[in-house]
Amino acid sequence: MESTLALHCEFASTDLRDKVLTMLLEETRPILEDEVPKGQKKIFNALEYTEYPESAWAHAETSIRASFFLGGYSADEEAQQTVLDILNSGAQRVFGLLDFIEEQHFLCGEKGKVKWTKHLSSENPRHLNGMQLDHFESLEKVFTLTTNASP
Amino acid sequence: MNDINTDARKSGKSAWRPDDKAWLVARKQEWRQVMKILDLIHDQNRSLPKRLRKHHKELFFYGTFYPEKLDGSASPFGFCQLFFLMWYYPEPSEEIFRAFCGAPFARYQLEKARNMLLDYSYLGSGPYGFLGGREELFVKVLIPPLDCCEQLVFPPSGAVLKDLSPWKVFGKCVGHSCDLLSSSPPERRPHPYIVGQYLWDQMDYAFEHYYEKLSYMDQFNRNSFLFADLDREMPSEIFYLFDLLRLILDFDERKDAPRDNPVAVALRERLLCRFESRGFSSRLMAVWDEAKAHYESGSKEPLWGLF
Repeated sequence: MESTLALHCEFASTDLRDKVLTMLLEETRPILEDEVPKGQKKIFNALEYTEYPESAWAHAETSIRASFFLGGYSADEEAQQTVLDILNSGAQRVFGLLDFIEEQHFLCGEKGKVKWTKHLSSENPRHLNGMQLDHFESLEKVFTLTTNASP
Repeated sequence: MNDINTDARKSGKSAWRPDDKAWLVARKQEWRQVMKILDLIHDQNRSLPKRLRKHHKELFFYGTFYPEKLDGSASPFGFCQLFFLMWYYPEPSEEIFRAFCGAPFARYQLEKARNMLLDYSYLGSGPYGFLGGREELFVKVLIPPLDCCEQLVFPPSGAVLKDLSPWKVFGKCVGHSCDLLSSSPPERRPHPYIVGQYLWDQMDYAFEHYYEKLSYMDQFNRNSFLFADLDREMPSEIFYLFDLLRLILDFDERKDAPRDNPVAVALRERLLCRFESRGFSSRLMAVWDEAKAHYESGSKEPLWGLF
């Protein structure tokens, strides 16, 4: 069983965003603390055991977008922990969309807490046009629909 | 938290040398491979929580050994510390593996370690394989060529390794050896240390002494759709053996034989020499003689081939 997690992570500054992105990616994340640049230990500690993303990239001025491939029945726990890790690394807010057991779940993380919403099919942006949408299109739509609602 | 080599570390003889920069660099490179294999095992077996991987990391880099149960529910090693300790030990040797197998903590983990080796060995890929080349040593210690009714006792704790099914030995040996010697594109080839290739002594013994048991298992296959139309006196597993022997015999002339794979070439050479010098038991040699006569008669297809 395969689950996909799409995340949109917001940071206070471009500098912090770039540092977190470096720690998130498999190619650039240090394996042990001895390689961690000064002042980035907190970010490393938060992300040391975070799942490596399938892809992650800088988005706009201060955001990261990332997609994760989470297998198995514990994907919801993995997704929640991933969001918490990114919050602990210094993100202000994290929005996520998890495709899990043929349902879509919306996550919103802020101030160390994660809230979940299970989408009803009528609200599910994946089915709005009767076609499969890319996860980030889905996330974009959910983000637009809910961004004004308090998480 | 325990350290498995406290005394060795105090005396500067520890196998873990995190203060040695060159050692640490090499270890970090291997860790990336270990992580990939752990992910594959995790996909197959949920008893290794990813969130507890920090304990694997501490064992791998520092030799720090945590108790199996941390909080009453989760186990970072899926209750198989022995397997991971053998895998992560920086200077593997038969002597040290036997010592681990005889440690009190290993008492109930021997069979699990052996099953992990046999059941997950196919997961590895590339030059690292499954356990980075430690596979043959694992086989030597955990799957010695014993009668399946015998028990192996590891001193000093007296930990006992119970019998291994002849059926399983036969299946892994023939299956993995076939995978190595048959044609497949490089990206789909088994890794160079796939364990079945090291099980020929064990398979030979099982075939010689437990042929009837293999035949008994065949009764199930005879009733299955796949084998329903085959009228024969032999167990179906032998049909796979005929395929394998044909792969050995026609290796030099078969167009799609993996002659560019040194592991396959070495295995084929080793097996051909042993068969030609009649180095296997009588029952296996009888099958070889039949397969060879059939091959030398000019037939293009293996005798009873199923592939």
